[in-house]
Amino acid sequence: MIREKSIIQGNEQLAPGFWKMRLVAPEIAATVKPGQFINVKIAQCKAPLFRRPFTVFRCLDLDKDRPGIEVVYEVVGRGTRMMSAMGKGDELDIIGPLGRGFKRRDDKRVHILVGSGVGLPALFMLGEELSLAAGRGELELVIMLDAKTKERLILEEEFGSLNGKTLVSIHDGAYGYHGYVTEMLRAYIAEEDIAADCAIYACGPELMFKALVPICSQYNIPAQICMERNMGCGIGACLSCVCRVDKKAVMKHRDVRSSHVQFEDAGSSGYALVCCDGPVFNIDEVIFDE
Amino acid sequence: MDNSPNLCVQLAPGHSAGLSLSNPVMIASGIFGYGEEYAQLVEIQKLGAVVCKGTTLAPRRGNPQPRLVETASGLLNSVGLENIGVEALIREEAPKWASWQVPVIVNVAGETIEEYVEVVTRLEGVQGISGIELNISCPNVSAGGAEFGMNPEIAARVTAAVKGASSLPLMVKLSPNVTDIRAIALAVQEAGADAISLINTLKGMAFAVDKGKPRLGNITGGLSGPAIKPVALRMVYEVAEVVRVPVVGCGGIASASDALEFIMCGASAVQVGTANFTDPGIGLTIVKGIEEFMREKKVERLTDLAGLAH
Ligand SMILES: Cc1cc2nc3c(=O)[nH]c(=O)nc-3n(C[C@H](O)[C@H](O)[C@H](O)COP(=O)(O)OP(=O)(O)OC[C@H]3O[C@@H](n4cnc5c(N)ncnc54)[C@H](O)[C@@H]3O)c2cc1C
Ligand SMILES: Cc1cc2nc3c(=O)[nH]c(=O)nc-3n(C[C@H](O)[C@H](O)[C@H](O)COP(=O)(O)O)c2cc1C
Ligand code: FES
Repeated sequence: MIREKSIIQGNEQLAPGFWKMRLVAPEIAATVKPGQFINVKIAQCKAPLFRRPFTVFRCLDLDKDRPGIEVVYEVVGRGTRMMSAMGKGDELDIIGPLGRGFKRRDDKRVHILVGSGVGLPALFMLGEELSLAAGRGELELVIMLDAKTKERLILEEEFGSLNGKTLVSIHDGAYGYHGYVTEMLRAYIAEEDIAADCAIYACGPELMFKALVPICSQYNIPAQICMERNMGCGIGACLSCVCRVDKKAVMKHRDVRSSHVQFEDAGSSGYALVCCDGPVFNIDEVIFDE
Repeated sequence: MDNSPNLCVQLAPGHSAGLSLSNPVMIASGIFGYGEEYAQLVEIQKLGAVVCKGTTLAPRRGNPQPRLVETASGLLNSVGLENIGVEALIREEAPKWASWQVPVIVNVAGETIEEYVEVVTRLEGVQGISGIELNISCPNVSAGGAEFGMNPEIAARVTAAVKGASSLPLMVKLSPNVTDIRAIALAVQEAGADAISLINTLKGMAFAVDKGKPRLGNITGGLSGPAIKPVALRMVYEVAEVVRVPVVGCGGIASASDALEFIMCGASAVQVGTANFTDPGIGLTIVKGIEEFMREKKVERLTDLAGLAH
């Protein structure tokens, strides 16, 4: 984890409301892992006061072999609106890489990425890694992209360039599968008969994760999901980004002593910190609807 | 000749061991956790002191999420005293502090006077702890905190009980959610506080109109950040006017000039909280800024600035 004064190399609109920002960030680019994020100080003044977290979409070599990173973001409020007005040469104060990212399930043959809306960028670096392995014939990659409307579908081309099968679901049926990505996923697993040999990696709204739960438990499929919370520090100090977790599942998946999960003595659940125990969790660890 | 200004402060002049800081800038409780997270980003050893997360007898899971919302120039939090408990602190955290140069002060919280006393009793003789900050003011946990700090008699009772059980320098941290902060300050001073810190967060609330429900899982929370600075400054000014013990100012401090305002209004030292989230290096920036100010104004000792306003 380091703090970098990063220079913006580019900031372009991908679709109405969606932007991609390219940053010079050699040290972060050198160490970031799929699913990790950066915490960005957007304003020089006091509004907005806090940093805003964004997943690293991908690393790339900028001109003159300088390593950089890209983030893809949706304009949803003050901070992201200010970001969209920034341009080449502007400076951003960023801290990263932060959090615990995805863990590849090398014991499985079929790897399915399930992403919706602005959750998609969090899956791309993992997709790149899996794509390399798929190219060597080590596994199969399936990519499911979801959006409410066709206009809001982002990164289709980028994901389409990976060694995998890309499927699209659009809620209003204007393109691809008509409906939610979780319905498409359920149908796909049944048709292809892959339940016993697949792993899911997902990022999107919590409603999507909740729809994944019955699918994963019915077929006993391991899934990792990338959670979001409002963050204060982003580094595990302020205890504000909690996610309720199931004690048994946490004990199964991780070394509790090196995590920040706090249980009460007798209880069967506790709180994990999204910024450092996550943002990626195993789906059975998370207790939704607190 | 070394003519760098002297930033040292003594926060417990009435105590045999004292609580001596190399500079007046501390990190407020609940911000740096137990210190080591921020140690990766900042030279924390150069700070005046670090106050750790509020610590109770048993581990606590804290409040439901969401625990944090940004407000106009401020932050509402309802962490609710989530902490690892005093035993884990003694076992896992304090040994690290023992080798640190920066003094670590343990913020102690509880639901009963007995719990406070039990926590400080267990902290007796533990290496790596330079002082106690008594949190009689956490507005988040419905069963705890607030009551002690809202009533002068009860505030005095818990202070005296803890003083009797602990040989460490004792700083008592006041709640701003009271009618007359001076009465509470005088009461804890008489009960044996070596220093007084203030303020903790102001009780507040935010509502999500689109969802038709409060933004915090706990409904209400504590407001901190630049928004509360004028309130904090007024209270520090009032308290410094009436007490003899050192006063530590806290609330919305985000620059050297903010810190100097508190010092000139009677604070011997300051604590910086929320501002660290935006700029983890802010504590050291403030130290440097105070030093520059003193150099420029030819002030030799920080104590020469204290309470200019009175
Ligand atoms: C680990 C992590 C990774 C993320 N990665 C991305 C990403 O790659 N691309 C992207 O577009 N967004 C991402 N987000 C969400 C992004 O941080 C928020 O959209 C952003 O903070 C909104 O800031 P704002 O000032 O524009 O909005 P605000 O004016 O602060 O708020 C507008 C709306 O956004 C919500 N919001 C504010 N902060 C957050 C937050 N931290 N998390 C979720 N919702 C929030 C508010 O509740 C409100 O409804 C990520 C969040 C987390 C926690
Ligand atoms: C996330 C968070 C957690 C806090 N936890 C504690 C705590 O455990 N004990 C305590 O005495 N104060 C706690 N505080 C209060 C701060 O120490 C400080 O008094 C307050 O935030 C005002 O200072 P500031 O405006 O500089 O943040 C907390 C504040 C925040 C924002
Ligand atoms: S944001 Fe501070 S602990 Fe996660």
